[in-house]
Amino acid sequence: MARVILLPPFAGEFFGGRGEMEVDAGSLFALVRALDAEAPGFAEAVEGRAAIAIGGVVAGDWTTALKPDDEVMFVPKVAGGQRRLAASSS
Amino acid sequence: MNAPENPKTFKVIGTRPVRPDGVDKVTGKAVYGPDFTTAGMIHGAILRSPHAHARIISIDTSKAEALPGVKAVVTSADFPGQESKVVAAGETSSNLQHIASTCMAQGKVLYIGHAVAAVAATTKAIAEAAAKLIVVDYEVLPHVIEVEEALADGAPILHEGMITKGIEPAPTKPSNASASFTLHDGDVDAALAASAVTATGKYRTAPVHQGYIEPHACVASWNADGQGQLWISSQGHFDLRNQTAAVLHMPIGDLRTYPLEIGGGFGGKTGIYLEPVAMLLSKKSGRPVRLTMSREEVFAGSGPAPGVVADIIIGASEDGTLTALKLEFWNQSGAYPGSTIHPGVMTALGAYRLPAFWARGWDVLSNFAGTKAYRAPGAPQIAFVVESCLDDLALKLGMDPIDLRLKNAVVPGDPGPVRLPHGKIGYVECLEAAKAHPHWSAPLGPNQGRGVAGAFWGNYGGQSTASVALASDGSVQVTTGSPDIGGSRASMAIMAAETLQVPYESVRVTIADTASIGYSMVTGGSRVTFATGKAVVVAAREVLATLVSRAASLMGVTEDQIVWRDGAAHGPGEQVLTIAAIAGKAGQFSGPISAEAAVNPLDYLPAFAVHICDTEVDAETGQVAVVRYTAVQDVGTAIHLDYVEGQLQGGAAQGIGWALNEAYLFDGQGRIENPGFLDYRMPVASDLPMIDTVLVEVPNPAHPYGVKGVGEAPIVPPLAAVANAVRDATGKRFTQLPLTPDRVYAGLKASA
Repeated sequence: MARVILLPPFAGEFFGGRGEMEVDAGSLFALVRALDAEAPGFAEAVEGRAAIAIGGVVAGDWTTALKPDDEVMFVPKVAGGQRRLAASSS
Repeated sequence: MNAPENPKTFKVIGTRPVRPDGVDKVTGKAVYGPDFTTAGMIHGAILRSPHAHARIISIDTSKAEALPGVKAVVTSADFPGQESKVVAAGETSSNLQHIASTCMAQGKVLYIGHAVAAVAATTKAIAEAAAKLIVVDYEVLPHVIEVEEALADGAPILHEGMITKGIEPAPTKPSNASASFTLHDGDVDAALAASAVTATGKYRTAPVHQGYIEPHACVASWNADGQGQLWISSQGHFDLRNQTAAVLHMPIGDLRTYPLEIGGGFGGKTGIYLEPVAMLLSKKSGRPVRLTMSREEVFAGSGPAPGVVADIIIGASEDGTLTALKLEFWNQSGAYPGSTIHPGVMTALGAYRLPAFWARGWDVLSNFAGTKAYRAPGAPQIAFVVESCLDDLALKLGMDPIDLRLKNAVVPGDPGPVRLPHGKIGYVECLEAAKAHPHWSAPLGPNQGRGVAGAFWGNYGGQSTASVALASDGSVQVTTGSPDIGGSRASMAIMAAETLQVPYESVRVTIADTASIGYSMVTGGSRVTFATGKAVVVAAREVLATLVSRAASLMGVTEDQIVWRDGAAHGPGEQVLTIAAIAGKAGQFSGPISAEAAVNPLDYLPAFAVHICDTEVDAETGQVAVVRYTAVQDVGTAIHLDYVEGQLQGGAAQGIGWALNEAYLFDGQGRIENPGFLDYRMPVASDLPMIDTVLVEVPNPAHPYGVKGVGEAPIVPPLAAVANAVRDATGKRFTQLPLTPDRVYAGLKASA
């Protein structure tokens, strides 16, 4: 089970504020699909607005395989000079 | 060079070969944007707004159209309507309506210099004369320039109905604040209240221009069959193609874009201004059309970096451990949303361990050209605020300012601003190298002071495509889609040569047009040597694998019996086949030796830098002279030493200009009073001392050769390094840039 950490605004927007969960998924694609099944619209939001980090390193390829103990973070992709990461927009 | 950690030994990497495009550039043969010409080409001119804010009531182009020699006139009526849609735009993303409006005003002008109409004619003089014959009826509206004016009650709103994003609950009243962005952790107010020492200040910087020498220019040709060509000088001909096609509602495949040489960009050439206008003029006239901005048009009509107003307070315990940072800043963002509040916030939080923080940026619009990326976008202004405040804190604590930074600097594994842990970063190594440098302990002369400042800049990776192909004599052709701004042809050639173990001179690098290679993102975010370099190495390794395989076949042995060394396959029994010998046998195999790689690496690492500056202040005139300067930076692995050192020196020079001289000056009507290099004073060689560099190499393990982006970080520390040196020289903290003689003189007189 990959440990999923959702940073604002995704936790609040899609999962009622639940920011951490365990998900059984073999790849980032599978993980996003599983989360989208729970919260429809999440996949589209992630594609446009999120960056995904596995073990603290941002991954651009969603076919990347996940190991059971991987920690996967969804953080907003922010604009302004470069597509960097940021946590909350409040 | 200080290279404490790089264990790899290279043959070509880390040398200083002559740049492949050098002779063309120093002999004037290189073709830049305004140089390009093509058969049947005519010339365009743009009519720009004389008002900072006005509604366009009507445009009468009849007199212009009647002028002999005029072939086409274009207004916003010729642009297809745009939906409100966010699209990728260079280093960031923008609303398509705003991108189109940047090229030509749609119903309203938002700044003096905003394009209103354009003409194409047989000569530039006729086009300019015709543009003056266009009659525009304006309803002039009140305008705003400064942040405080833009946010005042009753201020004229640039974009009617604009509601601030990023605030919960969303405001109900429209304003000029397009967005707010906040990062926070812990109880910052309680942590500050409990701090043994705090330092605080209100800081201000002005909008400054990227100051590239070559103005924006393009040639467009839009054929009757709907296919078009664009020849442009830009930081990313793929992204400019995409933006132009989106604005014009063209299929991307119908627009082929050719990259010309670029005479400086610094982030300012990642978006479109002229391209759709030239395309429409070409479509209407049936001829290729060139548009070139004048210097005044560049200053008034293309994006500067935002000015900033900022409030900061930083707390520390008695031993100098930072306890909390609280920052709020307002970007003076120009006419369109999307300024650099996100990287500004990140800059404030990236370099030091902070138990509690709250940092908020506001994107505030006003009536000058929409701001654009400028080398480490958003970071120099915020580093000026944070690193100046840290200097005050060190003074209050009685600590050496480098020691204060060393005590709190982030190390690998520390959480970054968004909780992602820092990878193999080298800030501590930079601070230690700065402290050990003779500059830090050298005696100062009369009226001199010394300042130090650090920097964090995130860098980027992203999508790139590259190919590597061998000619029958074994020479190597590398092709990328990344415009060469800082010497990337040389760094690509070096990495290919290192991989194939061939001489640098046997590798040639081409920047291909959009129909000749796959997509690459803009040259920005200090990404090309990292990401495009990765694509080159991947493709070169595939070529190498083919060479080894074919050598084995030619020798009648297995691949594991081949050792590749010095550009040749060495097999059993002292058999040797050079790269030329193998490449020349392509007819006996499946075809020529060639490989292409398309990558999207996001395992980049941030850059850290430390600058030391000595200034001498003339108290009678307020003149500040930079008398000694040292730039230290973690560069990962320096691929081409000259160009890495050059990036550090160039960034320092630009930052010194920002600190001492540069600012947009507006008159009461919103007109820029200094739209030329005589009055907008950028530093020249005679203004500066030799800028010493120290390259600290802490390689990025995710790159085959350890590359980290180097181009942007060196503009981040100079503003504070200079200001801290002036404080040391005068005993007075100046909180507003630039430190012009009149401002320094007035400040010193007020304190006396």
